[in-house]
Amino acid sequence: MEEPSVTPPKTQKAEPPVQITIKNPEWGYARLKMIYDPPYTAESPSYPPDILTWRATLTMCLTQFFGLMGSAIHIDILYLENDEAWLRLPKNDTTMFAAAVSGYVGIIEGKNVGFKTLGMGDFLMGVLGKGEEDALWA
Amino acid sequence: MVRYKARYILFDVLYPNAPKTLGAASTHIEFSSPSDPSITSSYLSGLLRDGLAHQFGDYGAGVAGNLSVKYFSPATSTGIVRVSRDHYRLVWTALSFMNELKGVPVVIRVVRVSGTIKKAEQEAIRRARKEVKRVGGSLVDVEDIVVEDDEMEED
Repeated sequence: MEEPSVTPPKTQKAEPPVQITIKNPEWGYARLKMIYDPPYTAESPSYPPDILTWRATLTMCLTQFFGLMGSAIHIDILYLENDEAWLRLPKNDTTMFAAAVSGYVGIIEGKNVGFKTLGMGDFLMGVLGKGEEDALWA
Repeated sequence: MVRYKARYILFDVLYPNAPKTLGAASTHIEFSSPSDPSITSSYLSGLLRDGLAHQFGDYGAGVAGNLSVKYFSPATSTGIVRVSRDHYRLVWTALSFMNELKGVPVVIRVVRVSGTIKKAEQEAIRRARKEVKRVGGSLVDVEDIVVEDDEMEED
C-alpha cells in the first residue's frame, strides 16, 4: 500500500516589516552654544561652563521671558561638550524655549552671555547632524 | 486693519478671614465684605501688571499689559478689567493668583467674562441684587450701590 505523500509544511512567509510613523514625539531636542562677550580664554577655570552654570543661565533666561511659566519648563541636560550642550525638553515647550533662548543676554562674571542655537528638532540624531554640517563646510 | 477685540472680566474680592459680625448668625455675606477704600482701579491695575510680569515674564507683561481696570467699587468689592480677547486668560490667572490686598488675605473670583462691558455690568447688578435679596433686605436700591459715582466709559 502506497503511503500517502506528506506535503512538506509550507515555509512561513516572513511578516512584512512594520512601519511606524511617529507623529507626536514626546520630546524636542536642542543643541545650544553659550557665547560670552568678551570671550573666555581657554585656560580660564570658568571655561567651559559646567552643568550648574547651564541650568542657572537657562532658568534665568526662561524666567525673564516667560516668568514662572517659563521656569516651569522641564529641561534635561543630556551632554556637555566644551561650550555646547545637548538638551531635551517637552515638545510642547520648544517654541517658547526657542523664543526665550534666542533673545537672551545675561551677565556671568561681568561678561555678557547669550546662546547660539546650533540646532533644534524632534529627534536627537537630526539635531546633532545639523550641528556637524557647520564643521563639514568650515 | 482689524478691530481690537476686548474681553471684560468681572471679578469680585472675597475676604475669607473677615471678622465675624457680633451677635448676627454667620452668613456667606461676610466673605464679600467691602474693601479698603484706598484700593483703587489704578492700584489694582498696577498689581495686575506686576502679577503678569511675575507669572508670564516679559512676554506676558507685554502681550496682556494693555489691560485697564475699568471699574472697581470698594463698597461691593467688585471690579471689571478690560483686556484683549486673545490674552484674557493670562489676566484671569494673574487675578486668581492675587492672594493679598494691602496685607489682607483675599481670594479673587472671576465671575463673568464678557465681550461687552454692558453685559458685565448687568451681571454685577444681577449678582448684587441676588445678594441683597438673600440677606433679606429689599429697601436698598442696588443700582445705587453698584454703579455708584464712577462712570464707566463704553468703547
